Amino acid sequence: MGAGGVDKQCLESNAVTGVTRLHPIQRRYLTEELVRLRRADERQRFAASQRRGRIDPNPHQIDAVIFALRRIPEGGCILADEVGLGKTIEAGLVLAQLLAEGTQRVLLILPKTLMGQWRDELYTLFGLETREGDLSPEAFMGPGIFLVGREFAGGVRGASLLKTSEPFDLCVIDEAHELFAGIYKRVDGHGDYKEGSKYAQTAQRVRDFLGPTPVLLLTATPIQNSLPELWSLVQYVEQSGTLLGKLPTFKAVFCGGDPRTVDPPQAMELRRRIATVCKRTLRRQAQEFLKKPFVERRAQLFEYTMSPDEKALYNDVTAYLLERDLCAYHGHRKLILIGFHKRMASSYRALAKSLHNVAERLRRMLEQAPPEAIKQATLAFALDLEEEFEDEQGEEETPPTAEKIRAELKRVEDFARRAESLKSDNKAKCLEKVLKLQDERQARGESSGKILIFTESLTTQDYIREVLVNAGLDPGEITLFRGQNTSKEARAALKRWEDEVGRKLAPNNRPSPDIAVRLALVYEFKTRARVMISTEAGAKGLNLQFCDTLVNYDLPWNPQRIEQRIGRCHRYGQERDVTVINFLATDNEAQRLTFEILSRKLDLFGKVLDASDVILHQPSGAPAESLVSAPGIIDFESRMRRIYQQSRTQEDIEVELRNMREEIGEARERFESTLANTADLIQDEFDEDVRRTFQQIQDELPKSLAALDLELDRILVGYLDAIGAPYERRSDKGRVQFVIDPCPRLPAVLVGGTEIVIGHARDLEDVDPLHPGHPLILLGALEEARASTAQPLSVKLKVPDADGPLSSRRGARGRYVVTKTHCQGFEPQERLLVTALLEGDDSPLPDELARVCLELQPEDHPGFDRPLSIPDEDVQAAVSEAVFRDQTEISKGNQDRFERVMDQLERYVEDQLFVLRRDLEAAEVRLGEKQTKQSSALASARRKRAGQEMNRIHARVEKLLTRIDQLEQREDDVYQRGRESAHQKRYAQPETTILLDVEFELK
Amino acid sequence: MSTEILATPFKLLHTSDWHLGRGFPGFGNRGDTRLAHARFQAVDRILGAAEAHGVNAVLCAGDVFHEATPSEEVWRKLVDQLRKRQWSNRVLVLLPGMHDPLVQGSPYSRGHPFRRALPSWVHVVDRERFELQLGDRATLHAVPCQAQASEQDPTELLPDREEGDQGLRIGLVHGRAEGLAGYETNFPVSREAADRLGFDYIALGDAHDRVVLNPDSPAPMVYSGTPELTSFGEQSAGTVSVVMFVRAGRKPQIQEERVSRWIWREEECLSLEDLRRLCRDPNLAKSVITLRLAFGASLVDYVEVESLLEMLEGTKTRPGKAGVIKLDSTGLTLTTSAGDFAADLPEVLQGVVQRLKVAEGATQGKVATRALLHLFRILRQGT
Repeated sequence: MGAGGVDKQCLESNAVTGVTRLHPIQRRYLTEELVRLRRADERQRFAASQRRGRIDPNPHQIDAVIFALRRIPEGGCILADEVGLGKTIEAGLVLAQLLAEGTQRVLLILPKTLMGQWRDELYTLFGLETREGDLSPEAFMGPGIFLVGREFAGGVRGASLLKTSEPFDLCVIDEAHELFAGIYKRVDGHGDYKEGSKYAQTAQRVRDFLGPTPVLLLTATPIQNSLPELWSLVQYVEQSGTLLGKLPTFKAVFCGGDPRTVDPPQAMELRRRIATVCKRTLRRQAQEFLKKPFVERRAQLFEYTMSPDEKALYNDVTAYLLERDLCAYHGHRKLILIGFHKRMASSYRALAKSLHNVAERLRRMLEQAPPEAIKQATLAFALDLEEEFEDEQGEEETPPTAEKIRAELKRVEDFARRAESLKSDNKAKCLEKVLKLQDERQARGESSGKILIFTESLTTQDYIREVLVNAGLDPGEITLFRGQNTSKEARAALKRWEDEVGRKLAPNNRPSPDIAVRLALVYEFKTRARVMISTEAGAKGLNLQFCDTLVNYDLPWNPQRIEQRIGRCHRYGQERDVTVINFLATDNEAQRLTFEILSRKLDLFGKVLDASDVILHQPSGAPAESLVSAPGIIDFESRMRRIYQQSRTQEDIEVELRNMREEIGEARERFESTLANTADLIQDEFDEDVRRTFQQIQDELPKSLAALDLELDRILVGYLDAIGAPYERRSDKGRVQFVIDPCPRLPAVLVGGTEIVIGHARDLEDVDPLHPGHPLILLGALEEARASTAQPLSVKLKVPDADGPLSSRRGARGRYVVTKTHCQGFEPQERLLVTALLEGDDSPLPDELARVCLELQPEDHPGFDRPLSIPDEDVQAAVSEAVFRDQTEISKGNQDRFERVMDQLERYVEDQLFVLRRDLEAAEVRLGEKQTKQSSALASARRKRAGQEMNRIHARVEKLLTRIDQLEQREDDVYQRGRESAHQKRYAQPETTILLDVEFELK
Repeated sequence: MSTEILATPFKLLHTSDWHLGRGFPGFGNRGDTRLAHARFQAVDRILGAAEAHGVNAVLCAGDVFHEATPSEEVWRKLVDQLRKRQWSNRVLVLLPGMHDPLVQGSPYSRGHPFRRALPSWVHVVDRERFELQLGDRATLHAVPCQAQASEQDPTELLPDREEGDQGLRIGLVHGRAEGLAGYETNFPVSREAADRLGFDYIALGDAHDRVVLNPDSPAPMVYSGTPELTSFGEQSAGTVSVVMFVRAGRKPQIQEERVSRWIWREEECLSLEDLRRLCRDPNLAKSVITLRLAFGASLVDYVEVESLLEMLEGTKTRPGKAGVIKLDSTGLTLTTSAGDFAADLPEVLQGVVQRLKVAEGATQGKVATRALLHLFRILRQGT
């Protein structure tokens, strides 16, 4: 399209948007109005936050975002929705909104296992790129979203680096209860950190570097064991410490003797206080409003028996591994022992490979090869599970004799031969059955037909591929995903993705190479392949909700990792129930017991069915996502390791597994009972009130989005026309798409042109969604409008012919001024005020008439023949009055917050007074007792002792009385600081900036 | 009148009726302390608001103290509050009102330790024709009450605007506007005073509710009301007025600022459900409540009522949910029934219940009812 097409496009666009060409004054006002900072509960703000993502948030998520945005200026909050309600999306919406409003630096502290998931979701859903923090000095420099594992954040070096880096504007901590779990390992009964505890040190380091940074805590289970845990979390988001007071006061007021439960009459008050900083939505509340209702997960269990050869090999290798001083273990017992067990459970191909690795290691030991060469053989062993290789620290071992090594090598080589010569693999046959079954389900419309297969072993991954190809699948129908995706198939997938998706992305929206290859393989699976075989590397961060069937070819020992695997498919956006397929050798008791713990005690797979859909287990109680991280359960993996390391026979293993099954069952019961006692504490609102709020959001949102889209459309068209940029605009499916050709007057990052959409962008991965924080608006439209209105402006305003406001004032001349006020208060906000004065009038026009002036279509006017007689001081006075009037509006919002803060401070003091008075009374009773004791004592020594005790109690009473007196006078530093800060926010005066000053004549 | 625009707008904060030192004996010791303390807290908020708004003057239109001769503890506390602030370009003007008139022994009288302890930026209206220049463009004219009652209209002592005076004129008086109950003997205030005498604003004290006497006039006469309620029924009290002037003769902008902490409520519960609902009220902690119970309760309900009241009032081991509460439970009646007791009660206890039920109809009926209640409680605790 050439320049000649521009006008045509302008006319077309103007016809569509229903306005005549926008005057610079109008462009300026509209754009400033669009980008001004609003209160969190203003419709335009939460509509804007939605347009930043490629998602369609549910009302409960918008409600949570409003809550978080309101709380962040006051220190932060806890988002504690029940699992599966999309806390990551809520945090993403908050981040996107804040970044667009000028936030520069955000720190995300995450469980290491979730870092990939966060990185991908922030990018794919919100277009936000993240940086993974490390120990290099420049790792946390400049603006950005920085991801760190919680071990890093709580570690000495990581925390020290974070403390010395530039402050962060916001910190998000996911699975916060885990970082700050076990309160009594961290603090003493007074709430002070225990200096010697490593848990305390970790939490203290995090607290230290956070300083006054607002914090967003994400957790579905903020209370796990006791109320003080909740107290502890609240301290991070309510840094004044006045909401719940100090720990002893909190316990005295709310716990009624037992820290695990709330004193029943105090429950409502505690709920009310917690609700100040904590937002929680339950599934039952959200369900009705979900655009896509929750889908279930169900497990299908394919049972098989081992062939006699398989069984014999399994028994022999297990017996071998349980021997105490194998040469193979020399220096790396844990690695080899556990690795062997895992791979034996994965596939016989993986077992054979392990045996070859070990045989090679033994050969090198026999040859007395250099330690490095032996280490290399061990490394190959570790790499198959994509695990990091670590030297094990242990006692100095005596090197085995050559004779012993030779004998063991012979055994291992024999095992390897047997493993390779196995004729049938019954587990692989189960997989073939799954393929057929999946074909049938797809034919019935019950499944997308796609299958995601997980394995821990790279060897097994290749083996499964072979099995599938042999079963008739085309190699092109299979995508492999692993830690290092450098195969030629992966490169080809990346190229296809670049051609079909990547090159269409706006330059500011292109992913890093690392993210690109992940996106490419997912794209490959979504668009071409039928099966994805992934190692553990894919258990984190991939969004595969288009696939509804998942196969655990083997099972990791970490329940959270299994949960993560399932979470790839069973996640927001999944439209079908998710089927999780597991294989179980019924004649392998250890495997059966392990599966039983995972399926029945931890309910990881939901409802468990056998291959013909007969229900084997129906879950009940707490959802798996919270169980896997519950106390007493998280150490499942280390227990498994210990069992395999310490057992001497298969029977030992089975006995230990049975014990563990019982213990986990009991831990689960305890956890559920605590949850039942305390869970409602973080749920303050009645269902009906919640429903009303969600309903209101649901009703208002479409209107707000439509209004926002219309404004964006008008502003963009006005801007592109003003700079003469060629573009094509088309409306489709309730949204407008623009293809903007290269133009030197576009913002620098977009001079090469771009493609954008106004409206929902869920299904448009290669088009940039337009929102108020987009460079086209902030760097383009806004800057252009500011430049166009920088000179003094003089216009004629056309008053419509019909009788209406100002029609009687035709011919009058005047000035109108648009002022932006910025008020910090409890929640920063900006407002635009319009003030207009007509020549000869004593007072300014009423506010509503001043706004009419702004709405009248302006025509440029070269200048008036005689100067206007409205001096600047009159204008300033009128602006001052308008700002003053507007403060009444702002006050209304601030007053509630002020009252709440002052109420909080009063209660902080009252709680302390209550405890002190109670202590005083107890002391006085004790004093009376001692007095009686003294007067009835016959021996002088006793009298003296009683007298001494009385003196001590007297001193205590005095101390209590002094403190009570001080608190009654509110002589308390924390109270005074809080009061001062509340006053400053409540009565904060706005800063004002004149945006437009226009001379006009009404015609 | 066409006057010059002020170089910078002039702002004042108008308040009145602080009633410092007022007691609230009907609410018990704890309630009395809290409510008395709240009045000083309101002053703190007022001074904070004045600073934040950057006002040029704070005018307190009378009844600063609840009594003509308040105790030293009371006036000292106010002095301590004032001395915490260091105002150099803002003044506070205190006007004697009907409760604290300028009489012998008044803390306002010259030489009183209160006067000596006040910071220099605090001015006391201690003479009949008080005049104070506020900045370079505004003048304050004030008239103190010199008795607890009078038929004299204090605005009559305010001077008229002089010819050619283009400055802002602010009036400060305490009295009851014509038409309000009892105005005849309570310093009656003419509603036309501001217009008639050429004032831009007259700050009034005495009424505890906020009232604008002449909303359509360019020269408002306003009662800002008491900043913290003193009794039930003060519907629009609890605020101060922040007033901004850009020039003399132009109607000032008035902003109402809430400063009160307590909500005063009269509640009547006609059923147990009413009481339950009240206990769920999120504003309980900042409420001063008189609660009247007027319903009949079975033994089961009565025990619940007791526990709800305990929750509201608090105990030695647990703070109450209500801020301040005064309870009237004379309308609560206990109606016992043998059916309230479990059917499988041991025979001996069944006999006791029956005997007590019979005794309820006799002369010591009330004692019998209490005994049934005690028995019921003991049996419930036992289960």
